[in-house]
Amino acid sequence: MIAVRSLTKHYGDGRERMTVLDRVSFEVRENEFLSVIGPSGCGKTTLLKILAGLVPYDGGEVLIDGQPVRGPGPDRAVVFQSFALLPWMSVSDNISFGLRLRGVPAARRQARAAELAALVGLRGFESHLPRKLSGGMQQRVGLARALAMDPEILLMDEPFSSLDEQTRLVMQEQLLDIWQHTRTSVVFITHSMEEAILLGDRVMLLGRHPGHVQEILEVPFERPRDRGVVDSDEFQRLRDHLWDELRGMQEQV
Amino acid sequence: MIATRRPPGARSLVRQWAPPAVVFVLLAAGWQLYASSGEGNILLPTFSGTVSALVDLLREGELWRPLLLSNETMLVGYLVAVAAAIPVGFLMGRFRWLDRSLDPWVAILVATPMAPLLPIIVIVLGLGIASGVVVVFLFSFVYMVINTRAGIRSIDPSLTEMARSFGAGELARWRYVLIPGAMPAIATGLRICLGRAFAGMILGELLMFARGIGQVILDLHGGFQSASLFAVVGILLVEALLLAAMMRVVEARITRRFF
Amino acid sequence: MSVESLPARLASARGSRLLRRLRLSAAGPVSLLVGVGLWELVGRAFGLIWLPPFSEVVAKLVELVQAGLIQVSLVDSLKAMAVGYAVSAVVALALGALMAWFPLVDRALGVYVYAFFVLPSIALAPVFLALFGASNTTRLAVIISSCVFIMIQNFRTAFQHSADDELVQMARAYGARRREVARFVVFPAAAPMVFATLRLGVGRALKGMINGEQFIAVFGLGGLVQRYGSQFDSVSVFAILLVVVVIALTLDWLVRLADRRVTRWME
Repeated sequence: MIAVRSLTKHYGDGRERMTVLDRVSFEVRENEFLSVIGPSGCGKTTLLKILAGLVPYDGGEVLIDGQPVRGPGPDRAVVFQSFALLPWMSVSDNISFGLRLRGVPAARRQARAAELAALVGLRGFESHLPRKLSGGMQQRVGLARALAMDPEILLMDEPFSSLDEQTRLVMQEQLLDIWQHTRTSVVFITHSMEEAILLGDRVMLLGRHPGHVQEILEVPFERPRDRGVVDSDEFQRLRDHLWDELRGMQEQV
Repeated sequence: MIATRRPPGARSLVRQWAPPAVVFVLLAAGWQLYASSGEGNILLPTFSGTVSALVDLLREGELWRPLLLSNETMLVGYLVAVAAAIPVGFLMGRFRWLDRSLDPWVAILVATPMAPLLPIIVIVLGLGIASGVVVVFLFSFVYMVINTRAGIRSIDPSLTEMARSFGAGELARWRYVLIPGAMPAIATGLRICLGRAFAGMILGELLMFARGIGQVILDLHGGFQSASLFAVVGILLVEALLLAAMMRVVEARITRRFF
Repeated sequence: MSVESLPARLASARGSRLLRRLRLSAAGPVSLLVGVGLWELVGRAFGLIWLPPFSEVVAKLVELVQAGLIQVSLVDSLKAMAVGYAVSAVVALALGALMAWFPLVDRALGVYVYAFFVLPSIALAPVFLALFGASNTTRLAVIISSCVFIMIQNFRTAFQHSADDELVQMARAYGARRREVARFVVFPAAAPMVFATLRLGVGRALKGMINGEQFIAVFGLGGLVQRYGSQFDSVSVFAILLVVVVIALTLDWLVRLADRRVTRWME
């Protein structure tokens, strides 16, 4: 579904040139949930933006269903770390924003927005303004907005890192539930090891200086999943392994 | 200061207004004593004299027409300045190369007094409404540009990125992100700009045009009626305060709607 | 913005990035030159009485300087402005600080400072003229009233913000006395806003000076403007305007220079 081959990205010119991603290669299968984790500066957010078509790249190939990525498209939808909700629009209008841009008539937009609001647990909040909502609720709007596009690929850029821990745990469970229904392909960026393992079918570990694929781990837990898996030995083993690798990278600086 | 939800009780109202009231009484008393003592400037009216002149002026009603004339000029100049400045501010905020090009002119316009241009304006347009409007325009235009530009610049870049990711083209980004996002700053600009327009109106009237309130002032001045002169200035002060209060409300309303 | 594959991108990337940076930094000066050039062309082409070409204005300015007509007024104006500004700055600093540190003073005087801040200072000019006649006192009064009130408000904000900061509490917790708190926390924290206010005040003082002088219409650069204006001598008016623009930009530059020097000294 997504095929990335030898992807390279630089920033800056001449002497100041920095390689952010160095020949990154990986694949995301149909209906797969890929977690991406790495230390700060490993280029994971840049990678996501390249997949979204928001940022150009300097080398390699990024193919989605065999077609090279040339810009944003209706097949991909992004969920942002800072929520990126339009403060002057209601929840319903925010959710249907992408649909409005595509010319979907108002009645259908509203209906779809109501549907998705219910899906993410915000039924009754359709006419609220974002400033009236908590962080967790705002991100649920962000998620609903992305799902409203019926995308084939969901790109999530550390969507829960602006939330407090308790809200974050709730959101993780919600996401597991929702994903059970929709089963889109997901690329999920996080800096939390537990989150990466809990949510993903596979975990891709990126190293930095320059950004590259260090390792890709299989997560053996079945679906549907819940927090119960966190206590298992296998989970601990995966987590310890990730931490060993990450700590090594931290000390490298 | 800690904000509370309860409406201010009697005690806190007194606390808030007693000190300035005391100062007022002291100043008025001091002024009255000094002015009536015969020691001071012969042209300084007494406080009581000024107040009674004020009452007379308001009662006779001869002030309203000149005030209206002047304010009409201000309104026209203000609206033209706002209408012209907002697009310029938008473009400067959006296109960095344009901003860099025009910025030196903006800096010069902000720093330079407009007063020396008044004689030129009179040479071109004579002493009618048009000159007054041009002066008000010159006073207000650049400030509206600055605020509008700041509004565009202040928009969270992740919002434009989000819009792009959902397929928004240039026009859609303006409509759904840039313009609404700039509204709070534009609202502030509207307020500041009106203050500048008011200043331009008065300066224009006093230096050159003397059609409205300026004529009144210059007449009173020529006739050595200093008590009435003081009173008129007092009325201008009240208008300034009213305009400021009104614009603060407008600004708050607009900001609330878009944020 | 679309994304291209390797060959096309690399070819244009390095060249265009450098060119873009060059173009951006040149944009300002170029546009100034273009503007002046336009002024010259329009002035020559249309021969309007009210828009003489730039070169003519410069020539007139040189002529006026050589005839000694500008210098006296220039010095006179600048002296008055300096005095008015200095008095305003000192008064505003004192009052602003007092209002920031003593809520009672703030409540007592705040209303009046605000009222005179909102009223355009030129509205007071007739009052001053009535009281003091066409004298330097009137001019000083206009200059002071044009900048002191806004400076009081801004200085008050500058000191208010730093008065009850977390940093102050921290310093006190470490045993700093009042003077030390002032020296190490309050003043450095207030410095940026203080300098911004001083810069703002300079601009206002200049405007107050010109406005006042044009209103009085007797002395100073403003007096010259009014005189030439009434003679329909637009070239000379523009010449004086040019002088004023230069003064305005120079003063702004000077204050910014002082800002950097003092900031460096404090660190």
